[in-house]
Amino acid sequence: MTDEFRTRMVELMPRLRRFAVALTGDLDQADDLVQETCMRALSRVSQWQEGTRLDSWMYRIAQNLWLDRVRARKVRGERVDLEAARDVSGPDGRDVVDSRLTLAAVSAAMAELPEEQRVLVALVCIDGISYKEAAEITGSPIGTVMSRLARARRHLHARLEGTEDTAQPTPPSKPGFSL
Amino acid sequence: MTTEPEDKMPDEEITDEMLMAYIDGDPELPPHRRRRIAAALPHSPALVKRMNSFIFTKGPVQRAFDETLVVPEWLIAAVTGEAKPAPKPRSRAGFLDVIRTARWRTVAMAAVGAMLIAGPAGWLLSEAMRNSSVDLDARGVMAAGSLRTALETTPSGTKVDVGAGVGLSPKATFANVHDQWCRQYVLTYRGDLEAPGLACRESGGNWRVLLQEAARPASPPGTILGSGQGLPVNPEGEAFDLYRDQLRKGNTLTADEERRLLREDRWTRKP
Repeated sequence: MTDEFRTRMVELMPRLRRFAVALTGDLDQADDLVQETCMRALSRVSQWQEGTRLDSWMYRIAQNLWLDRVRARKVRGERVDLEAARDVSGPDGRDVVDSRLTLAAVSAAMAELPEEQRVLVALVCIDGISYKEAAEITGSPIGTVMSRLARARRHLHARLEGTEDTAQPTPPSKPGFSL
Repeated sequence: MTTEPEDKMPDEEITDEMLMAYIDGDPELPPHRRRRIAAALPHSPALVKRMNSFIFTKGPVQRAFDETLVVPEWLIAAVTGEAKPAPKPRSRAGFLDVIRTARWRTVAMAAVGAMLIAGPAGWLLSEAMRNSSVDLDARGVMAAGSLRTALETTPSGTKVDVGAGVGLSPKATFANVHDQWCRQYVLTYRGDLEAPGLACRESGGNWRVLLQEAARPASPPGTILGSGQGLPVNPEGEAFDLYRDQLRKGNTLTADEERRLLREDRWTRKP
């Protein structure tokens, strides 16, 4: 079980690392978080139910570890050290440079988001999981997930493109929000 | 058959959450809401403007993180319990690199955000921009230079080089609901990347790019590393078709009609 679990976990590491970078805004902290998440998962492998999504389970672990760190030490500061990604080679040198700079810009904008919005951007926009899964991972109602996510995305767009935040006129609130 | 009440929903009641779900391809968005949004888009610049935030954060923002999918060997070794190699030394970006690339990135991002549909890469368009093939104004992106010439002179079904390794193949010519001529096209790059788009000719003769999907290689670089796993069904193709169909008035021009418009009328004839 452990060997198979470890193999699946390694397969997940690229996505987990991307998720961690989106949360932390820093490659070193992200790698630490990935390592700690994997170690925590290995130590609690008996709690994972075969047949359920391993990625959701590990994202939940990573998110909780990160929030613990934030609460304990206020680790997330202004620094966004993503120029370090330069040692990543790519098929086209110019593309790598463009991509890296964009990563730094996006991370700086994401640093301005509250933690609960940033984790949703990381899950839905960057990893591509559904609102429903994001709601399960974060333990929030799906309506809350969608309103936080919409707010975060408007902010990122305004921040990165210099546009105004195009928040719609707020319609009368309806109990039991749904699509 | 009864009309569903949501079909008459005013634009201001199409919430940002609905627009976001539409762009993200959320399966929970009811079909009648999807149709309602698609029908409202061609007539509501305000709606398109609101939607841009969700397009932007679905494409370029996601792509910015692609490089982080490469996991350092030492980290894998640490997790698998194998011998731990030393982390690679990391170098810093050169100042000149920042200057050289920042301008193009800014232009590309502005362009992508101004369009109705963009994907995870604005790079194809930025390639065209290097060749002065597009202009930007407050409302978005206009074809210029070789791209404009290509739109005005290239028959559907043929391909022409617009510079910087980018080719343009018009697919159809039709009139839109605003009595403008429009052309649906595909931009190609390196022979194996394609990016469908749609541009319409305004009264002043400018070609405004209304739709531009991102180019997608057959095997995107991040795929083998896990990028895209768990992604919902990509709705961009569906949204593109819906938007085009809502925008179009009348039939696509036949080859003879299109030839007259390109060579004899030179786009002066009104639809």
